[in-house]
Amino acid sequence: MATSTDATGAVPDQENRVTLRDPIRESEERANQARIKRLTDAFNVFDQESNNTIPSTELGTVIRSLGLVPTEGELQDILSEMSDDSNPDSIHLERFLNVMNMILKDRRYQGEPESKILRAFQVLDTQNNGYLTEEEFRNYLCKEGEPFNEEEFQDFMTIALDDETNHKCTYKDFVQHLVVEEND
Amino acid sequence: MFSERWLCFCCPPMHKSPRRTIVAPIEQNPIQPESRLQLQTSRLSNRQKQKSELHLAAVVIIQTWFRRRRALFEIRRKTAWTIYQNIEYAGEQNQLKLYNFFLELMQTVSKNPRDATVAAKVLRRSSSLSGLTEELELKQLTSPTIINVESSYQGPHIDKPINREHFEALILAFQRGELLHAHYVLLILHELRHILKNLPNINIVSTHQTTCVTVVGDLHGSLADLMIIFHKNGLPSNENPYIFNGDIVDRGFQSIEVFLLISVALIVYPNNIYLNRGNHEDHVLNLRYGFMKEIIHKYKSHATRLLHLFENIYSWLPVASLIDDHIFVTHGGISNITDLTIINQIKRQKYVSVLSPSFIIPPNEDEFQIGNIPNDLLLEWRQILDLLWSDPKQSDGCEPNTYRGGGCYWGPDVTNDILEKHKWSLLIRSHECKEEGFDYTHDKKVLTVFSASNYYAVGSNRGAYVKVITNQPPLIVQFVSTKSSHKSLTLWERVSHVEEQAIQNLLEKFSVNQNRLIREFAVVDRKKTGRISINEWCDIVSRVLNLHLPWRTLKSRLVQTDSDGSIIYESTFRFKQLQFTLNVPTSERRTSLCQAIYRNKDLLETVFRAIDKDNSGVISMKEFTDVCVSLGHHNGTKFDGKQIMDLAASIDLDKNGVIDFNEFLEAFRIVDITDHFDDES
Repeated sequence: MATSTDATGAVPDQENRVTLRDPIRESEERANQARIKRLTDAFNVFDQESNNTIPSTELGTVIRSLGLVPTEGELQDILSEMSDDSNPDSIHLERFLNVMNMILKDRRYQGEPESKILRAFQVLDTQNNGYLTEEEFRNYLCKEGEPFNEEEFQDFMTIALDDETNHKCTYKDFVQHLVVEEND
Repeated sequence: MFSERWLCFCCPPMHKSPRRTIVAPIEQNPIQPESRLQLQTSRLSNRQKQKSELHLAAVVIIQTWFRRRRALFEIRRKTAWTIYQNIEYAGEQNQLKLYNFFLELMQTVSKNPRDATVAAKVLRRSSSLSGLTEELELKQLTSPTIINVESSYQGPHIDKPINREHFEALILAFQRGELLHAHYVLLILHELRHILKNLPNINIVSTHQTTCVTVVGDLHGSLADLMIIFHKNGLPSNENPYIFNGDIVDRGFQSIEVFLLISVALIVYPNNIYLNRGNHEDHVLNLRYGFMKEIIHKYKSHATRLLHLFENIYSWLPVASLIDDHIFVTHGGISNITDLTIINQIKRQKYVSVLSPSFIIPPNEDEFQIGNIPNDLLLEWRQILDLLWSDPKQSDGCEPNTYRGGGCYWGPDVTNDILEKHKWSLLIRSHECKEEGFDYTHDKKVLTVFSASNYYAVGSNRGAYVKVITNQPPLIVQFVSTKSSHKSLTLWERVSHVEEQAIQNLLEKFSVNQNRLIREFAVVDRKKTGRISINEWCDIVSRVLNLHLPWRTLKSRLVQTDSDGSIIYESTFRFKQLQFTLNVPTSERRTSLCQAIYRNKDLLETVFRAIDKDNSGVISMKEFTDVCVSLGHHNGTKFDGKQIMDLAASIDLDKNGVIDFNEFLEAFRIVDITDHFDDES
């Protein structure tokens, strides 16, 4: 990879003609390659048959695994951009890469900072208790917004509650659970 | 994808509801918070509108963030699954490649006569343990009367006629961990054989009287899973019929107990219990995948007798079942040539081993021409091989491995053709582990059912069984066997367990390939910085281990990265080390040899055991060295004959020209390195 350069960053090629390197373009290109590799790796985890497609139902998981935080509605939008009418149940790698590369580049769907999430709990905590109960959660999360199904709710409660007996969630600690960054 | 309803009678928290699509649920109207607000807020005051907006936004933030958290866990679980499947797949590929290799050796005039001798020995063993085909010979060798039951024996006693009480007594005894005396094992197996001989190749099953029949998939020696099934679904009886769809033995540790229970059930209720042969009901596979080891360990001097009888019994197992003329049940699947009229006419007992039937192995070393085998015999073989070994694929067509490989990969078009040809509505098969214990494919015409839960590791997968009920869609029941805790594991706990085991497996593979990996790392790291790029690390690891996994996703759990994002490659080996009991100084060549031996441990063990005709655990030094060198030719590893003999000698295992190969292989062990990697600056 190492080639000798002179002080201007110019590199002699095979026939000893000199072309100027464009460091900005090169670093953009590298970043692009890195993004594509990241996307392809995430995609491949769900590409069961190694035929460059994944089931549409897995798109949400794949996108979230990249660290993005879209709502269900936003996912639906992304899906319609990517899916192919002739084959609506699966997504092809090429379309996935095209759409996702732009999304990553534009740094969309990054999600809110921790403070905003804490604020969200505080808004729901109408009595200002510092905690929310299982029943309150069920009322909000299973009936409003983009509701949880039973399984999601059960998994939520398992990590939200302080301990199994008291049915309370002191959300200040819980917020950190939600925001955890996986090492990448 | 799975929109069939399924019920789980005793563990509601564990069953998954139908997979979400990412369309927002219909109970709530719009998807976008804004449009919903438009409906509601038009009726509210300004202040109330603001509050309502805020409230809704808060709810969505929490939901969105939780879903992301959950997705990250899903990915971890999926990745762990990929690791297990890849390792299993690579292992099976090795096994098949090995047999192909030996067959090829036999076909060509081998430049190395030693290789041919090893191959011949292994293959002749693989065609039949002893060449016993005579009824009388078999009866004489394996008659229960040869073995006396000592008065000190505390376990259950079985006498004829075998009845329900015996069945229940055995269940209790096996749950207590008791071993059934060899005398009674032979008794039961002979009774079983007697019944099996009178069965057709394809069981004819009718739900007319009982209204239902339960199909159980792979059990692989898991007594715990069999007990759960009996607990949830009731013990087998004339009112509660069962079909066991093969792969009862191998891999698990209670294969013989599971096989015996199913045998006794069949003996007591011969008209309502059905057995299909699986690809693991084959002594060639038992060599490698644990059943033979289990028998030798549990029954010692009687093992050989038992193994002979098992080998023969396998050949009498029916190869499929047909329920109510329209649901076909077989272990592996079908292929483009599957034809019941042909299958019905085969003399199935010819196929002592389905993978390696005797007509392809010559009785003595001289003659061997696979080209001489008539075409219709080869096609007949394929019919049975395909039933027991095939797997479905998503794209159309039918790809055979090779005749000597293991069945076909068949596509949805083949399913349509074969189902239509026979007027079937559904194919139920097993053979593949599925995370939910079951899986529909090919437009719901193919149903896979797998009944060994926690197959790869605790938390890796559920088990399932299928209730086929007259005139109703099949009912699928899932379950998980929990050994210690009665509390069902949460998603988070399950993922951690499964992942942990998978990561350990990978770390072991690193240590076993240490020298080769270091060599490749050094080539790339010319400046000797101790670091290489992520891409380079992933490339090398993928190539050397021959495992194509999402290494980038995994790397954070496997190696250390430097502040600039490059990988400190020494840390690849910081957790595990291959150790061997040696009291002589080690050289680089020797560690390489030891690593090579450990990498090929399974293969070596298989071949040693094949050569060890009397199951004594001991073979001659010459045979031992021949095997190592021969395998070396197979996969390009250099096993130097002299080096190996030196190694064996230094482990002090060479006793008068014979070697205990179990002891030899056990001398190699992967241990955890307790000191953590020191960051040297």
